[in-house]
Order: sequence, then C-alpha cells, then structure tokens
Amino acid sequence: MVQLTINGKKVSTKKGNTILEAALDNNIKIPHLCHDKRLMPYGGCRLCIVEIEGRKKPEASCATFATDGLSVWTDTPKVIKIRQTVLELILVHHPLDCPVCDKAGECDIQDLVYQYGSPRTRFVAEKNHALPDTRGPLVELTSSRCVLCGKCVRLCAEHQGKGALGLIGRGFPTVVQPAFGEALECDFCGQCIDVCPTGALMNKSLKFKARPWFLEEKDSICSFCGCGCTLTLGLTDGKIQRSRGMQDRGVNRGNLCGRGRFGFDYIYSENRLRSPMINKGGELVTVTWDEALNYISDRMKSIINAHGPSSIGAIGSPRCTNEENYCFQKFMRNVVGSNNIDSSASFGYGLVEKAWHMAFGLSGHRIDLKYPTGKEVILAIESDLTVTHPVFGLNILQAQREGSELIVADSRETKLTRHSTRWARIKQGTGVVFLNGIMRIMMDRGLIDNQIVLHMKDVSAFEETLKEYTPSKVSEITGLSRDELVTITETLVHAKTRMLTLSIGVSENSKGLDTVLAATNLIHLLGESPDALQIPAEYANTFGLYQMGVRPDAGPAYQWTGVEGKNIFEMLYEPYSLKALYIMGADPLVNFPDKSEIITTLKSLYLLIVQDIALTETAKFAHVILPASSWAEKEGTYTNAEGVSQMLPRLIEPAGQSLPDWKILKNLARTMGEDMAVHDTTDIVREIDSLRVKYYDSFPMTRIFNPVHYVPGEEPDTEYPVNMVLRDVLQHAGSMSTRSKTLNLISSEALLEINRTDADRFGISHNGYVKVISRRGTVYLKAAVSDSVPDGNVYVPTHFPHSAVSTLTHQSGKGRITTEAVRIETA
Amino acid sequence: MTASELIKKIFFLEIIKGLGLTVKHFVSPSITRQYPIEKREPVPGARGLHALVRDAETGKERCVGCGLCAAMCPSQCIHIYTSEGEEHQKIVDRYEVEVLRCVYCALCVEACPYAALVLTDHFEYSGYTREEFYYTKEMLLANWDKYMSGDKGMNYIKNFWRPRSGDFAKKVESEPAEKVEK
Amino acid sequence: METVLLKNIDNPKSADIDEYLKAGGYRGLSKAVTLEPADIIEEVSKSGLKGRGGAGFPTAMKWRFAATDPKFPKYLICNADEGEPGTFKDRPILEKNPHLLLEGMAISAIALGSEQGYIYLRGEYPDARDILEASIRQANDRGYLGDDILGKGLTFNIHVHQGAGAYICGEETALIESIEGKRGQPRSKPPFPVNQGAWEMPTIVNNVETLANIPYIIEIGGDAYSGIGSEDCPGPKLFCVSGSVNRPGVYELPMGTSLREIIHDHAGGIKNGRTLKAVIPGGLSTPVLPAESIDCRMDFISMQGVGSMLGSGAVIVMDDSICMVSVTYRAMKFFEHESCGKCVPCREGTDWLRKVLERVENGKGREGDVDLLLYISGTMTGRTFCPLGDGAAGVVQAMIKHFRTEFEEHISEKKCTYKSIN
Repeated sequence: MVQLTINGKKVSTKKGNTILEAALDNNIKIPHLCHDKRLMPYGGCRLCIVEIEGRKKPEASCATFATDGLSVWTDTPKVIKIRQTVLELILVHHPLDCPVCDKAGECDIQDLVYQYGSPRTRFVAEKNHALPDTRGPLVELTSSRCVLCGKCVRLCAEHQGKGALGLIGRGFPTVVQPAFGEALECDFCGQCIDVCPTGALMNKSLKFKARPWFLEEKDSICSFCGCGCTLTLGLTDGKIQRSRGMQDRGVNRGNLCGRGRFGFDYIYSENRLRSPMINKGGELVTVTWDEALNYISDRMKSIINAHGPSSIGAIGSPRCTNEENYCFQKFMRNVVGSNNIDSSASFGYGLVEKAWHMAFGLSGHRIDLKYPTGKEVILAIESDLTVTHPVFGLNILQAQREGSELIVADSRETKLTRHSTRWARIKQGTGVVFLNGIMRIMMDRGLIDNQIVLHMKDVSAFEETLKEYTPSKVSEITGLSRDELVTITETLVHAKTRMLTLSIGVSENSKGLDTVLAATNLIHLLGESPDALQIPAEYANTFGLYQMGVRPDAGPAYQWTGVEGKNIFEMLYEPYSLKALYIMGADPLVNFPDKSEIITTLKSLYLLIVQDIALTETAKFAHVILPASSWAEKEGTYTNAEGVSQMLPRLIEPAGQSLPDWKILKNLARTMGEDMAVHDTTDIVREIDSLRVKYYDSFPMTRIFNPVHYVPGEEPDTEYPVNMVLRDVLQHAGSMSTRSKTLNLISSEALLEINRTDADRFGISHNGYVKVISRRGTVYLKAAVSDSVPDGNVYVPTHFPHSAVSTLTHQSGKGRITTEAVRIETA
Repeated sequence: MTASELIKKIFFLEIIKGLGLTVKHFVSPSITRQYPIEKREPVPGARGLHALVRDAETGKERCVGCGLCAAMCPSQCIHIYTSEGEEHQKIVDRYEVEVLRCVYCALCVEACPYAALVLTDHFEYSGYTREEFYYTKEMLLANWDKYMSGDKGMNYIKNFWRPRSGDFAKKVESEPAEKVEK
Repeated sequence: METVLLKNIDNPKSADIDEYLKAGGYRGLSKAVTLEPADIIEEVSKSGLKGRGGAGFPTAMKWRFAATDPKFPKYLICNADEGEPGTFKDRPILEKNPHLLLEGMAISAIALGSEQGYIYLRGEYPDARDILEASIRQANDRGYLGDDILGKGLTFNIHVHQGAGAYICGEETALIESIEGKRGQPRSKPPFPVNQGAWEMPTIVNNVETLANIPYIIEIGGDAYSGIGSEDCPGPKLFCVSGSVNRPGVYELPMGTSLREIIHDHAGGIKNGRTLKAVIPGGLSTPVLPAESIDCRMDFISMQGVGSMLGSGAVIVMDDSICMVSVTYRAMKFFEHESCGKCVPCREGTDWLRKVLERVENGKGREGDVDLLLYISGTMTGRTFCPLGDGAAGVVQAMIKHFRTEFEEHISEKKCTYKSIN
C-alpha cells in the first residue's frame, strides 16, 4: 500500500495505482475523459491535471503513479483554470448539437462544461458538421462529436481483444474509424458506446427514441448465457428502450456482450404468444385460459387413468426462473406423480454434474468468473468461451494480458486462439486423446502429484488404460506434434496455479462426458483442487434449474426421489414411450439434435402442451399452447454459473394474456383439483429455502479415476466426406435470441463455415447457398468461406429455427461426441 | 345613547348613506367589462394557448424534438415522440400538449433552445370533452398560423423569448464563422 | 580543426568500408572489444558527451540506467528520424560516413549488453536506407557486426526501420511505438524507455550524431575528448546553417562556437548584403533570437541563458526582408500538421494558433489577436503530453516577444507589409 495526501486528506492505495485511481478509490472526484480503469494510462485529455507539491509543472494524474508521501491538490485555482482552458479548446470544434444528440443529459462533456463554467469561446469556428456514419447495423459513428479520447479504440483493442476501431489520421483531422474507413464489422459488444464520453458512438437502436432524462433505469439480469450479467435497462412508457452496463455493477463489473446489450428486444417480437391456443382439427384456435386449462386437465386425467402417471413427461427451461422450475417439478412430482422431468442441461451441464460426482463425489459444480485472474496457466479445451460466455471469456483474455499462459487446444481459429500464448491445433473432437496424451506423458515421466495420486485407488488400472495413448499415437490422432504435446505437458505441470476450462452444451457436439471426465482425471494427476476445472453452466438459469430438481434422478437441492424418471433421451428419442409431454420454455426441434426423430415422438403423443413466450417450432406441433411471460415481465431469480442467485424485477406489463409460468402451473393444478400451496413467489422461495436447509449439505470429497477412451463421432467416409461440428455464434444463445430484431441485423441465419480448400473442392463460393446432406436429412445453408476453420471440417451453429440444422444431427444418448459426417453440394 | 345616535337610528342615516353610494355608481362610468360581449385586448406576451413555431423557410415546425420543454414542464403536460428520418435527421413524430394540465408558467418557452414554442395570447377555448384539449403537433402548428400570423410571432420571440441561447441560435451574428475541414 | 564526424566527407567513395578503414575506421571498435562494458561507459562519462538530438541529456548517464537494468534483451535504437525543419546534420553521416555510425552503435551495444539494434530512419531518406543496408552487409561480412564481432563472440545485429514521415516519431517513445508497429504516439513517462522501452525491455535511443561521436571518444580517450570546445558540453558539433546566408551547409565546429562566427565567418555572411534580422538557433521548434543576441556561444547552457535552446544545431538565418508573421504562420502550419492528436492542448491549440496566424498574415487580423495568440500558447505550455506542443507554443511566444510590433502592424495595416519588399 502507498500512503499519500490528496487535498490534505490522507489516503492509501494499492501500489502501482495512479494518482487518479487513488483519488477515485477514495471518493475524491477528479474530472477525466480518457481514463478507464480497465485500460492502460493514456494521458490524452489533460483534464485530470493536478498540482503536486514540490513539482514545477502540474501533472496529469491518470499517468502519474502514486508514491509514498505525495501531496496532491486537485482543485487549486491554477488547476481549475487549466481545466477550463482545456474544455474551451475541446469546445472550439465540438458541434454543440445537444438538442438532437442522444447523449445529451448523460454526456461527460456537458457535465464538465456545466461544472467548470461558461462554454463560450473566444474563437468562433464553423462547427464541425460531418455526417454520421450510419452504415453499421448497431453502432453509429458521428466523428464530428468525437473528442479523440481514444477510449473506444483502446477498449476494443486492449480489453475486448478485437481492435475493430482505430484512430485514423494524425493531429487535428484524426477520426475514429474502422480500418480503411469501412463500415464497422466487429463483435458488436457495444462496449465502445458505454465508454464514449460524448455522442460520437451511439446505440443505433436507441437513436431518437428517448432522451436520457426520460429513461427510468432499473437493473435486471441478462437472460442469455450463464454469466448472469447485470443489465441496466432504460425504460420509457413501460417499454425497455436500451440496456447498458454500469461500471463495477454486477458480476460482470459493467462489461456486456452484444447479446446482453442489444438482444433484449426478443420480448417485443411479433411472434410472442398473447393468448392460450388449442389445436382444433389441425388449426390453432385462440381460446380462454379456462378452456385451455380445462382441456389440459381433462386430457391429462384421462391419460393418467389409462396409462398411469409415468406416461407423462416434462421438459423444463433454463430461461425460466428458479421459482418456476421448482413449481414445474413440483407439479410433475406432486400433482401428476411422475419423475419424468428433464431439460436441455442433460446435453451440457448435466454431464458436468455427472462427471463431477463420478470424479470427486461432489454436486453443484460452479465456476468463479474471476478464477482466471492470476493463474499461471489456463488450458481451454475445444471451446471458445469468448463466444459461449463472453464475460467469462473477457476475464480469461485479461488474465492472459496480465501474464498468464493461455493454452488453447482447438481445431478452429477463435478469439481465444488468437489471444492464446500457445494454440494447440488439434483435430475436432479429439480433446480426450489430447488430455490422455498429456496424462500418459506425465505418468511416463513421473510428473504426477504423488501426494494425492498415491492415495487413490486404481492408479495402476488407470495407468493401464493410458498405455495405448503413446505420444506418437496421440500425435497421429490429434495432429499435434509430439514436441508440442510435451511442451504443453511441462508447462502445465510446472505451473503453480492452473485452470482447465471448456464449455459444453446442446449447441456444441465435439465434446462430451468423456472430455469432462478426462479433464477431471488430469486434475487428479496434477494434484489440483476440483476448483481448477471451470466449466460454466450454459444458459441463464441452467445451474438453478438443476438445483431446483428439473432432472429425472433427483429432486430439489439434490435430494434423491426414490425412482429415477425418464431422461430427455428416453422422452424425446423413443417414440411411444410417453403419452403426454409438457414442454415449458424449450424448443427441442431447434436446439436438440435429430429433428426428425423428435417429430416422430411428438406426433406419437396424445397430448403435447407447450408453454412458451413465443410460437416456437415445437409449439406448432402442440395440442395446447400456453402463453408465458418473458423474463422482464415477472419476478423471480436466476442462478448463474457461479451459483449466485440474482433477483429479476418485474419491469414491464406482460404481453397479452400471458402469465408467469408458476402462475400457469398453479392454476393448472387447481383446475386438476390439487393445490400447489403457493400464492406468490415469496411462498416458493420460502419452500425452496426450507428444502435447502434439510437437504443441501456438503458432500465429502473423494477422488476417483474414471478412465475414458476415445470414441470419435460419426466418421467421414467416401459418401459423407466432411465432418460437421456445431459451434455457437457470438450474437446468439439458444434459439430465443434469434427473435431479437437487432441481433438479427448482425447474424440472422446459420452460416456454414468452410475452409477455402474444401470450398474449391466442392465448388462452393462465399455467400453461395449449399446443400448439406447427412445420414439423417438435408438442409440448405449459406456458405461462409473462412480461413479460420481446418479443411475436412465445416462449422455450423444451431440457433436459427429456419435453418433447421438439427435435421442433420444425431444424439448418442450417453453424452458422447456427436460430430456428423456430411456431404456438401452446391445448391 | 346620545341624542345624535338616536337621531341616526330614527332617520336611517347610515342606510341613506349606503344608498347614496349605490346611486352614485349608477351614474359613474363602469369599470367591469361585459365579457364575453365586450372583449379585452390581451397585453403583449400574455400566456395563452400553446403554439409550435412554423419555420418560414421550410414551412415545417422549428422544433427538433430535444425534449427540454417536456423535461422542464412542472405539470408534465408535454409529450414528444421522435424518430429517425430518411436522411438520418431527427423527426418529431408527435408533439402533444395536454392543455388542461398546463399552468401557463411558460418555462417551456424559456427552455426551448430554438424558440420553437410560444404561448399565444389566445385564451378563450372551451369544449365538451377532455380529448379536445389534447393538442397534437398539427393543431399546435395551426395555432401559430392562426394566432401568431404576420410579425406578431417574431415580435413575441424577440421580446419574450428569454434567455436567448446564442450558441444554439441558428446564426452567430458576432463574427463570421471559419471553415472546418475534417 | 581536424574533422571527426565529417572526416573523409569529400571522398566520393567515403561510404565504402575499405575507404573507411583506410582513414582509420573501426579502430575504436577494435579497442572497445578489449574493454569491459563498464570501462566504455566510464570513458564516455569522462568525455562529458551530451546527447546531440536536442535535449542534451548526458549520454553516459542514460547508458548507465539501461546497463544496470537486469532485464534482457536490451535494444539500442539510433534515432535517424531527422524531421526538425532546418536540420540536415545527420544526413551526411548516414549517406557519406555510415560506418562511423555503425561503429558507434557497435561500441555502444557492447557497453550496454545489447544484441539488437535498430536505425529508425527518416522516411524521406531513401538513399540513406540503401547505403546503410549495404554498409551493414559489408560490416557483417568483415566481422564488425553480426554474431561474432571481431572473433570475440559478441553479438550485435542492426536492422534499418524506415519511418513513414511523421515528425512526432522523432520523439523517443513515439519512435519506440512506431518500431513496435503501432501508431506513432508518445507514451507516458515514467516508465522511461531506459527501463521499459521497446517491447517493455530496456531501450536506449540515441541520436545519429551522438553515436557517431563514440568511436572518437574511445579512440582518443574521454579525457582528451573533453578538451574540445565548451567545458560543460565538449566535443565537435555539426551546425546546419540555412536561410539568408551566402554559404549554407553543414559545418563541423567545436561546441560553443558563437553564432556570429558561424554565420559570418563560416557561412559567409548574409546574402545580398542585407542585414541580419533574426536567427532560429536550433531547429524550428526552438525560440527565435533577435540579431542582437548572436554573440552567444552555441552550447546547451549558454543558449538557455539567452532564452533559447541549442536543439539540433540547425541555424536558420533570416535577413531584414523576411516577415516574421509569415515565418510564425509557416511554422505553425508545420506543427499543426505534425501534431499527433493525442492530447487536447496540442491538437486543438496548434490548429487554433494556425488559424489566428493565418488571418493575421492575410490582413484579416482582429484587435486583440496578439493577446489571443499569447493566451492560446500559454494554455499549451507545460500542459501537453510531449514537447511538441511546448515547442509550438514557445515559437509563438518568442516571436511575439521579439517582434510584437510586426504582428500589431499586420493587424492595424490589414496587410503584410513585407510582401511588397519581396
């Protein structure tokens, strides 16, 4: 700690902090335009100038380090005079179009001029009236308003690791622009909008819609990935107008990705369900709530009578709150009397939980978003966390910048590989071999942590299973050179602190339970604590959903239910095993693999109830559709991948006649003559809490090896010569985000990423349409020729309902790697 | 009781005095006006019905939709809805005043950086429904044509638009501007 | 006087290594490889050599900071970005005597323990690039550079990096940014480049002329060197004289030669028999001196005494037919064009100054513009990020200090009174 005096007040600050940081940490305000705590000192704006006793010249506090015994004065007349002149200089050419600038009201320049006096200038130049660059879809660039603080440029390059913006030109005519003055093409995280002190970079979707002083700002939690970022939402007239991140607020500390910032508008989609509907003779007819609930109640009762409760299944949703998921499983278990309840987590987080239990005997795997910070080595396996969990990804990038070794084993180029210190370009789906190879080298060279490993059972048996993964064989399968494997192993072993990470979910198919188990084995050998494995739960409430007991094998808070119900594989991929299915907030036909198989199952049902916020693909097959309220229209909690439960406030009125899911379930139960004993969300919370006290207990930790062998996905052959890998795109999470108009401006259809060599081989051109044929079906997609993917592989996202990628895919039922062999033709 | 008091009581002197005053006013010139038959000319700058200034050059409203009037309005009776035009300019879709809620403080006129809003001297308006007093942009522009025609409107702005926000006014008169190449 | 820096300059083949060796080249390096690095620094310290780039920082002190830093690798950068208007002193060394520079760099590298050197060459010197690269090849072949210098197992390689024509890249931190491949903008100091320069490693940036002095110091010894010229900053110095003189050119003279001697004795006096009006003594960014001050000695300390700076030793001479407002305006146009745009006072200030000067020069000046110029330059002094803004402001302040009446005449007469003379 460093002790210094600011304005006569003794303050202390961390060593290496600047005077400005020291002052801000101690609530002493120094005006500044070009400082952001996430960035390196810049010293451009000269507003943060302070006087330091004993120094001749006033110094820029953002670029002067705090040292012991400094005496700093931040508001002397001399300093104030300097600030006034700097502001005068800035205002010489600033257009002063505040009445039509959307930043007015929350503009740093406005505030500073207001604070430091008259904006009148002695020099009247014609104001700069350059037209805004409106070409980009979401971000508008008005360079005439720019004061060249460079924060956007530096944040994009230093913090986001993208570098999409640059300062073009020199001196006075400098402008902030993408390279070569092209339209902005980037990740569209919109972080530049948040840091811009003026109206130079603006959110296009808010343009001229609301003046900042009319916006009522409320915090809520993002409904997309598992990070659980706090969004600060601005509302006018009962409508959400914008979302932004506030510095240091929430688990995201003010950082947001494009989904959180722009994607909230899916709740205003025209596709929203506004009233219950019943399929009458092949046509969906709008009905009253009473009619719909009575219909369900009658049909369900007769099915229970005829086939027993176990013929009814249910699928829960990671988009619904904890309270709703709790009610859902309670409805299934208590009202219907069936344990057949599962969710999309069985393709992702469920596998992690399983592996966690098998390897450590623990439950409730959670990550720490801050975990990457300060770790000596970070190993990411076949995952781009900057896409699946952007804010977690940012922390990984930050750790790398601060000196962590970032090793990424991945088949394709991603943002993570671009920022890695070592990119091990393995072949897709060979993560298990890669990990086994590392472990074999460790075993052979005696690099294992003996203190831990020798106390474990079956070490020799485990070693036996690694025998076949000789470096040469591993090298052959993964395509990684032997030396590289050895170097990675040594780096990993010799590091003092490590983190292993990957993402896993229904929208990715090159990883599976095996990959996670192999990673746990490596954790054992390294003697690391289980925390070193950081696998985030995929969606907003996947973690909570699992805790609430939306799973066939356990109830809320991991309590054993006695009978294991049918899991999602048995429910969806075994036609005629169920008579009725209740789907809450899930769209299996888009998100889950093997669409045709699911359709067969859905068609075989006597009763399909779909309860969702929008008319999904699955809903089109439903007998009854129930409209649910979206995330902003109800109260509840989301539990993020860290295991932190966060409140969702009710911000806007529900769309049409839609109701919160728990209310629908409560009403349905009552129609069926049962009482769920819940009247409001506090009742549910109380009930959940009481269960937690009873059952939620820490399990003793054990360490068990789970040997895994490499089982490849579908192997390409002459007929289907290409591997198809499923990967997320940055702008979407699940399929709900595809209903957002703003996100669709950036990414509105599934692009088939294909290497140039393959494209030439199959005669495919960039942006041309291709026919993709797998053993299960055919779809037409747009091709994107890209150098970032390896040849022999194509990469496709699943989000888009109309692209119907799930027609091509299959499932293994055991959480295995399910990459597809496909054939590609021009269309 | 003294004699004089007694006399006063007997002859109703006080009442006669009072009647005298009444009689006096019968013949003196009248002070009140026979409104609505007789109408008074409003003083310049009187605060009456709202009007949006129609720009003489463009023929459209001068308002850019900055919303400062609405922000300033103590009775919150101004509602503005804007959107983006084809040339990326700001377009005022709706400018609405709930006249019945207005307290005629004219803070909106003061707040306006472009002198785009005035209070006319028209004060007599009545109707049977509240809806009639929900003035839309078109109605407010029509008010300008109707009540502020000729030099009247410009004189109002010259005399009663205070403080003048010089930096926002269209022309900076003091010195000729210099070109900026950026 | 025996020339050191411009030795052999009249020989048309002086850039060739054989000619250089014939004239006694690489003797300093041969001696240096036998010395301990600390001894070389000690020798330079004794010589009292000060940086010739303009700031006049003692070279040995700078070296010592970098040499004692335990980090490795260390970089030696030769600043050959000679962008200061009026300066052309490095060019003869680069083009005519490149081996002198290479030898100086090699000796410095040994002293610093650096294995990689860069020559940051001005973008407008394409010939120098070819000559330097050919010379580096020759020196590599003869074992004066490369992986085994003179068979002593020392490594030093030099890479020539050509700039893209930005004046600001002559500032050492901006130069380092540019070498790293980034936008040429100065960095905040501290940390200083000697500890955290190129790629965050200890980096020494020295001017061409400074490095060209090193072989001579090693050859004759620091004590002997310190006897040349001024006491407190000894050594030979290159003066580039330009403007209204009969014989403009580069002159190698001992430090401390008086301005009068340079102009009248060496450069042949004022052209066309006119009288001297003003002198800019050290390149455009140094404050102007009126004709009365030319008796001062040209060294770092004496120049400060008369309110100017030695700078790069670029003497720009102006006779009585020259309009000082026009000179100031031209100078400000240069500074506005070359300001990097990072900090507000410099970016907006130079632009504003240029505009006011432009209208004064064109007879459109207004009452109070002289005070406005002083006010704007006052807001820049000491508040800009790097010395560019200070320099620009200083030029205006000095011009107004010495020639205020001329500015006022422009404003009151509403025209440039000198245009008729020319």
